[in-house]
Amino acid sequence: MDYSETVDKFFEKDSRMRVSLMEDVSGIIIRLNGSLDMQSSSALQEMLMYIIDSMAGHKRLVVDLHDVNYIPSTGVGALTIALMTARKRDIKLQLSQIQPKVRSIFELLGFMSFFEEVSDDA
Amino acid sequence: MPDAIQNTIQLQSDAHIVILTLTVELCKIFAQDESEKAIIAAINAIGHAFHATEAALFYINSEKSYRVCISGTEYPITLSEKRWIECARPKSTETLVTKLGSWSIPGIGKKLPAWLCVCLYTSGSESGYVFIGREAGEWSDNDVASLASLKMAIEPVVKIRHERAIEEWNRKNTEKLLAKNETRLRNIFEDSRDMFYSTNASDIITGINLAGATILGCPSKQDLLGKPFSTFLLNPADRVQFLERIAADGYIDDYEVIFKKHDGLSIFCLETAHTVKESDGTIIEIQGSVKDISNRIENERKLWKMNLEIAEANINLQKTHSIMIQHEKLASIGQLAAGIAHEINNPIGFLKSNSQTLEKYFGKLEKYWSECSTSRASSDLDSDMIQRMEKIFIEAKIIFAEGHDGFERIINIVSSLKNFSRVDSQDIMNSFDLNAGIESTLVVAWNEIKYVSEVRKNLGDIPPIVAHGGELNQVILNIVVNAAQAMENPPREGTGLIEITTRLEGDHVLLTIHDNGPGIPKKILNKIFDPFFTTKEPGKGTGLGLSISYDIIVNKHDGSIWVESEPGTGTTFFISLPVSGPHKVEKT
Repeated sequence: MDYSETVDKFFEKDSRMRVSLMEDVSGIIIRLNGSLDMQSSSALQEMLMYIIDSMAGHKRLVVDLHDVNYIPSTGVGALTIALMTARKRDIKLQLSQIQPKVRSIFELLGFMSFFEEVSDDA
Repeated sequence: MPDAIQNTIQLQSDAHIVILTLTVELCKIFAQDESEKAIIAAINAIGHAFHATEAALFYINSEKSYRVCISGTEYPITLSEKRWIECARPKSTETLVTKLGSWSIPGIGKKLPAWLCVCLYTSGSESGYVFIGREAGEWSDNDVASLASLKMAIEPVVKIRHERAIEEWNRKNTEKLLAKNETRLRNIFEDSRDMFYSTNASDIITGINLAGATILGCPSKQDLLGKPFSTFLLNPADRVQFLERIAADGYIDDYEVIFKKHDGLSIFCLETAHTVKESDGTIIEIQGSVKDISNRIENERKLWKMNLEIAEANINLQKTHSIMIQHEKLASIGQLAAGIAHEINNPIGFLKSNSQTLEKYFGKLEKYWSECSTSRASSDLDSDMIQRMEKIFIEAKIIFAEGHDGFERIINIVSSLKNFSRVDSQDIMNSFDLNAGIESTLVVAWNEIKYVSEVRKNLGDIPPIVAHGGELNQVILNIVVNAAQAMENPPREGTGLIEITTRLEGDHVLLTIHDNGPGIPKKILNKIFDPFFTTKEPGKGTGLGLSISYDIIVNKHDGSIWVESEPGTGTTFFISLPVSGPHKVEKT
């Protein structure tokens, strides 16, 4: 899968969010950099759905939030919807390196418990 | 100089002085008073100077209709638009001063025979006309000339005054309009249900409306003015990012921001703001509006949560469904096995009985032969034949003995199979002998076990327990076969050992099944009861055996099942079952 094409398909080059994709034996790792405003949230959701649809089952999809410093409710919604879709296809969606600010928003909305968190060495 | 001429000159200069004095007086009046009272005073002054009986001022439009009359009264009188030409019948309207005949001020004054009328000023389509009337006699030419001179003298003053009055009127009007507009805009700002705010370039609040105070739960706007906007955010440091972005772009649309209310609760809001800049680009002010979207967020949150829970429930449902199907399959296999066992029983029965009969006949044959071979002269019989006959009878005994064994084994297997399946007691819990169940299960499983492992039984003295025997047998079979398969691959040195013990512990019966196989790694130890979890190759196991066993022991029998394992040493399964069965059971 050519990931640079995938990213370009969903994110404009000048948007506030930069995305990079990596694949290893266990699955795919998506690194986000920037702030997830309303526009990039819906782009992220579309991209995640696209990737989940084309992934084989029993793999994992890790979203690395190390460089994300702002996430509005639409961002949380995008990840939640991706989580549900991934579950249905037997794919594990996991979050890694959640910043305290972003974590507090997840907790405020009461969704932290739904997501599986992994450390970077996994 | 002749008297007549001197008189004329004297008269003229007298008249001149009158006019001058009157002019001065009028100027004074107009300078002091801008209201309509001045006009009234002026009219009275003019009337007085000319010894008129009546004096009045009319505003008259281009069609020569009256509009307003101001006379010696305190207040202006509005007339219906009678044409003064018709009323007054002027001889000519083109001269500076017009002489009028018998006329009265419409609606007010009495009829007077002689009137003078002069236009004091014109503004737009309206002109102000002064009328003076005398009770008796005519107005002289001097009077006419004087009035004309007066008009010339006073006209500029009146014009200026008039223009000033209009200016003043416009100014007041504009002020009123501005004030109205200002109030209107202020109301929009104040009464809006969204927060409107302004801050300076250093983020200090310079203006905020009522909604702002309400949204932040502050008692008054004063609590907010002069404070940094970031003070009211849940995370003040967030404001830095906002300011950077708005400085770069000049505006921000629909930015989600979380405030901390006075009472500590947090509110989700949406902010839209823009900067006001100097010509050189420095920011003077930030203006923005904030909308409380807590309700929307709450609804979205509930929706997502519900969806997530539904998705989870669905997945659980699928798992349960699979388990149930597997369970059904096993149950029907059990039924099949019991049916087969039953079918085999019959032919075995008569085969055994035929064999016994045959054995009896052979016994008789042996006896006859023995009698024959001893009663006849031994030399008559072939010693070879005698030997062969003896051999036949000896071998026959062995064959029958083996037959017995064979029959016993088949009967044992068949009855074990029937015991194991226990189809006759499908859904009802009965009194069950666990030790007997273990025995029959081992017979059924023997094929799997015999090449890889020994079995050591230590079955204690336990009472019968209330249970579903068929299901418990399934559980034991599952665990024992797992153990045997584990010991098979990879192959090991020496034979394996499976140890099964039962003993009574208070009101529970404890069953342990130990094998000295490779053990279970700690990493997966807590997963082995998960549905679909298996370490076998695809096709070699569904991963449902232990989860069904778990379900049978824990949910159906109110028992417990757990495992201890040491990689390299072995694995032990512990099953504890209440003697009196599960709580909500109906005993037969």
